[in-house]
Amino acid sequence: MHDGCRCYIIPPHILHHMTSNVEGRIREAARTTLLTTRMLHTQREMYGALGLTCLSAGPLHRTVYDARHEQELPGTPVRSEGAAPSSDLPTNEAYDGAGVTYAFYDQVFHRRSIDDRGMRIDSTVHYREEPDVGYDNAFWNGRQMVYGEGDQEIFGSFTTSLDVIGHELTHGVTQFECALIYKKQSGALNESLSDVFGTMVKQWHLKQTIDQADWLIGRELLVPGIQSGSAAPAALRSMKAPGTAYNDPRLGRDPQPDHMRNYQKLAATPAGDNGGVHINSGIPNRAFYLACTHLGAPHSWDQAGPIWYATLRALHATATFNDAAKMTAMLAEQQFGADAGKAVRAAWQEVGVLTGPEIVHVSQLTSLGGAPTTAPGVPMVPPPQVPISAIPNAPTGDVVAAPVEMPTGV
Amino acid sequence: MKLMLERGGGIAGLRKPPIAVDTAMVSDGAALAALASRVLALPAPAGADAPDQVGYTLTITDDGGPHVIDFALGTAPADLRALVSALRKLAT
Repeated sequence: MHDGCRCYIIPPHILHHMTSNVEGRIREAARTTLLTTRMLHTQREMYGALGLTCLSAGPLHRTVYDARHEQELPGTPVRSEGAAPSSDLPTNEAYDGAGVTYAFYDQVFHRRSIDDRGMRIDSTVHYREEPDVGYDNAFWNGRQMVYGEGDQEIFGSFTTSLDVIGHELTHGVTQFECALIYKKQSGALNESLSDVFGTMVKQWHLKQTIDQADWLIGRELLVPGIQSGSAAPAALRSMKAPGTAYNDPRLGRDPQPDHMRNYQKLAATPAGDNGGVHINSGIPNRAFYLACTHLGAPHSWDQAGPIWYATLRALHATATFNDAAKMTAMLAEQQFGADAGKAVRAAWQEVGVLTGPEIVHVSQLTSLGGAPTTAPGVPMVPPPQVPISAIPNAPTGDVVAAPVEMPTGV
Repeated sequence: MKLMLERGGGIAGLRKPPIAVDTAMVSDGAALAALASRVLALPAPAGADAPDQVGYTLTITDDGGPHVIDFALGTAPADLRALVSALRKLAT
């Protein structure tokens, strides 16, 4: 008898012969091997019939690891591509959020994963730097995303906000594209690009227009009761109104400026937030929001998204706000026409990055808005339904606030 | 010996006031100074330049002047982690 299997070094007919013609332990070993071989063969037939020959087949390859409250990375694998949902919520949020972000980049920009070469997407949840202290952070370590579960007093799990997952994955995209130096203005641009694409991932997933979007980063990961600096819900940052995301006795006051006149010159050290990369990013963040409104297209990913994506790929590593402003304006004009270029320039002028004799008022702009336009090489595809739990909409608000420090010690 | 620990960064960009300690002014100051001396003898730790990583700056000032060490806690060696823990306890 021959079962067609050619993957084993001892052919089955020899094993069969051994089970009939030898005695004792050798006969038993041959019988066991034969049974195992048949079992494996049956499994392979079953997987083939189900299309599961290789669980990692296809361009998307996610793995979620559990650090189990330790600092070792990546930790223990707990969910791989195609596997059933875990009983652990952060594991599923990291898995689903990476999937939505992958789909966004794929379907809006035809980008294949973080490196545009199909790179696997690894995430670690339940990370802690100290065993007894919940980690209030998420970061990209150059190879993977890492999420803390928060202290549960101010911050909940950092996997809760889809825009934060999009933010972290975009740090990887930036690393493989313009590799903006993570200090001062280039670092603040790096941060801003992560917020820009992070919020776009969320808006795209929810099919929100720019008017429906909350323009908040990390709203869902703050525990209930954290006070906002405006009528909008509290969050880590507001792209629409930087400086208003929070104003709470436990958290301090949102220090982000919304204009170059309030740019904060901080030391390029860890204590100085590498020159205020998470602080001064408020300026380019608001420029993106304003560009969306001035361009007038219904969704952020219709026109502003392709302009900022092309900019992410074109900037040099030490780019300044001024470089980004000029690049976005030039690319806007190339992709969507002269008025789009004026709209983007107007956005940067309103935040004080571009100055000069030619001040363009939004009321002077014409021929903007309407249906999305397809940029060269950047096809537009409507967002699909992606299986992730819905994120509730939030009202918006406008206010301004001044920067201060956290009240508690290191 | 004077020690100062500063912290910053993280996706929230939160900045907190530094912890400053003069080992001559605290109980067990000699043990703390010895721990800091061991930290000074260590190879330079990996920096904290990954995006959104929480970063620390430790400044140890002795007879030789200030020595500044930037690091991330997650990848810091045991003595450096122990020094951070001791300084935090003194601050609470």
